[in-house]
Amino acid sequence: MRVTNNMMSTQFLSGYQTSLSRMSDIQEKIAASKNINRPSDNPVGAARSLQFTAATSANELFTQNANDAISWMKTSDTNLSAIVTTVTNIKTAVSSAISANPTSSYDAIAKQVDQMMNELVLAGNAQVGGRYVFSGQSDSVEPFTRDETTGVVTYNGTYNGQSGVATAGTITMQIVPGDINTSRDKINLDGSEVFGAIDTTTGVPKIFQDLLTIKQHLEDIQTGANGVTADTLSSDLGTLDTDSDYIISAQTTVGARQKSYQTILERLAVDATTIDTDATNNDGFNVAKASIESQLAQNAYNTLLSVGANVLPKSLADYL
Amino acid sequence: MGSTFGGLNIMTLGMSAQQLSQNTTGHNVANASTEGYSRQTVNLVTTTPQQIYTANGMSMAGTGVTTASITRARDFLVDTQYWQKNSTKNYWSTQGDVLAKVESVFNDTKNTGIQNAIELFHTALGTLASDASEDSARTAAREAANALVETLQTSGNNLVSQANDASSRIDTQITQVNSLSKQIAALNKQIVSQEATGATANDLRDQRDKLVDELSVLTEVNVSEEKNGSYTVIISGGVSLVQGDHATDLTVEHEKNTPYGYDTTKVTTLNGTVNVNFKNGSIASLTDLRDTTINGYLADLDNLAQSLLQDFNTQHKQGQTKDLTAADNFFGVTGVDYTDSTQDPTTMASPASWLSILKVNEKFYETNGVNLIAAASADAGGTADGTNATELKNWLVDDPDTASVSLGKNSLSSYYASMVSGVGVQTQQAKNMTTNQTVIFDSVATTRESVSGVSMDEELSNMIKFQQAYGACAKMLATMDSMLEFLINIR
Repeated sequence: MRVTNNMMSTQFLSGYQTSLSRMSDIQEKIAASKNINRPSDNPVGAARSLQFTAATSANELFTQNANDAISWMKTSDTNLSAIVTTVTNIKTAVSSAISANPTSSYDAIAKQVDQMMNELVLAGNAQVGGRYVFSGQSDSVEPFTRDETTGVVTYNGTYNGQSGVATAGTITMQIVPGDINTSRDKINLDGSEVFGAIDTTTGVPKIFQDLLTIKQHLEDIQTGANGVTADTLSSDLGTLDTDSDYIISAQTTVGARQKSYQTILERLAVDATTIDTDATNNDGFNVAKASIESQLAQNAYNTLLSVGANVLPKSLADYL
Repeated sequence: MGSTFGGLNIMTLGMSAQQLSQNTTGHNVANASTEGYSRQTVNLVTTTPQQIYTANGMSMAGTGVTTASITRARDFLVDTQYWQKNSTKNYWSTQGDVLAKVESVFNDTKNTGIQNAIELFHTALGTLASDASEDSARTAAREAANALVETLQTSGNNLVSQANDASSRIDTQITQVNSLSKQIAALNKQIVSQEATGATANDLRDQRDKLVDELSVLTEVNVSEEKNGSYTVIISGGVSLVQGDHATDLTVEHEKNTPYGYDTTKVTTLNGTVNVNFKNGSIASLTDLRDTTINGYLADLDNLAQSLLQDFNTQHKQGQTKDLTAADNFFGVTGVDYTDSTQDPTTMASPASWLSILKVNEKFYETNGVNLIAAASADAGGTADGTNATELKNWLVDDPDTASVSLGKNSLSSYYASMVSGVGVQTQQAKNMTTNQTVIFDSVATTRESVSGVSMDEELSNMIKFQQAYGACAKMLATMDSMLEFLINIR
């Protein structure tokens, strides 16, 4: 084949282009620390990397939810402890009223019970981040309000089973993918789960109704009205025991649930690392490999330039 | 017995032949880097010999040298291949260039694309599900939705401007085709008249071939040479662009695509009676890109918009607002049922794309408008219920059980992922084809250069050859002159 000077310069230029574009490719990869910088670099890998970013963002969402849920349940737990303590204190006070006492101390105990009901209302109105934790789905409504004259405590939140809707009081925070599962994703206790069934007509929770009755008994026993005797107070103690057990079992539920959220939170952290690793493997970028490739490309480029510089300018004219 | 002064004449012929050769060598060297130039050679032949009578009878005595022709080194077969490969190469390199831009519209490797917008919306809905009473969570969901709408529409607009760009490039290239065909026709005329005398119009032919080279970038051409030396240029569909000294003018008619609204072109000839469809070359490539590739991706984006207006709204309407009343559309306009065929914007009197009507419900921007977002399910007890928000969130990423009209059995997210890998595969193929076709084209171009190109070393060695031959002729002349001097000085 006949070779001409133009052929050599064209060939040199096309080699130069190839070599330079290879260097620029490698440089781009190193600069971004990524092998896949556009879909056409690796169509399958690019689509898969979308899945990994989606998984990462879902993981972040669930982690956020788990943290929120745990903080919610911690608040619930603290306040339930306070409620249990208060109910226990009421029990002690009432049992001290059973032994023969002067009338003035019944009055004092009644006032004490009344005061402790206020404490219960306060604990029942606990908030986390501006949300009432025991208010069911009406988390922006103060759940327990007390009438100052009658002392009646009414519940303003929503509760499971309200108007025939089983989940009317349930707040969920999702920590696993898929549809909401109210028994799995539930994080709250509504007013009825803490203070007993809500009277559908008056809106008064059972435990507050019980306490109001006991307070009335303590007032009546002084005058003997309504046939209230020490026996009545003894049976009231039994009622208080039942109520206390009800709250303790609610607290246990929250504790167990908090534990499981904690476990899932830890697992989410592990998952995040796994997703990161998978995403990195999918991309397959390797600094060492890239530097070697870069070195090779540079060598090829240098060689090309040096050969070109030596061969191209020569012609017969140099020797004539 | 030859003429006394015949020798002088032989040497004169010899010197002028060598000089002509030397000049042609100079012409070659001077044009070594002229685009489209093919090297020329002077073909020398002996002049008609003279019959002379010798003692033994008749002999033929040489009378010198003369120039038979000056020809260019050119192979029409290689040219034909060159034009064909050039068209194919340019088809794919145009594909590669434009697809690289299209691909950047769908580039999510830097977390700035549609996938990122979907994920932000997904997260916003997830946060809303956990804290549905909170207005800021509702606002965040509305804004994330708005960002998704804007990202989709920006991507759509990018594609439309790519399509418009393709159309305007086609426009310019048709103008180029017309200009080239006129020039070829003009050269045809000159070549025919110059070659009528029997000469070869080397330099004009080089120019004409170069014009065909340029034409072959734009479209596939079928060139045949007539007996009188003129080129007949036919493009795909049998439209003869150049015949003799006549060039056929191509006209571009402009239209708008429905429903996406980008510019389209229709190329016709013979007063609009014949449609011209190009094959290979950059014009065909741009047409294919615009009408098939970009249109296809616009249709994909439109499907995403359609599914937001239809399926997302359907799920949204199953929930309740913050005031626990029945919810309306999240996207589009309140009260419109987008699943109703009469609401299909693409089939309306003035068709529009789904993407163009996609927007977040304007009512969401009124006072307390964010309350209209249906985070709560139909049987919610209070404002904190986020069940429907979770359903909406899941709708974005979970493949549905029943196929939807727009996306089939794909979620928004997975439909988009398959679009991305589609774009990736197509761009990768265009890149690979460009590389392959360039290699093939380069080899033909090298063959052509090998036949026609000027080699400096070759020309320089010719130069020495002709120089020496010229010198020898001159020396001969001097010798003959001195021989004659002897003759003349005889006393």
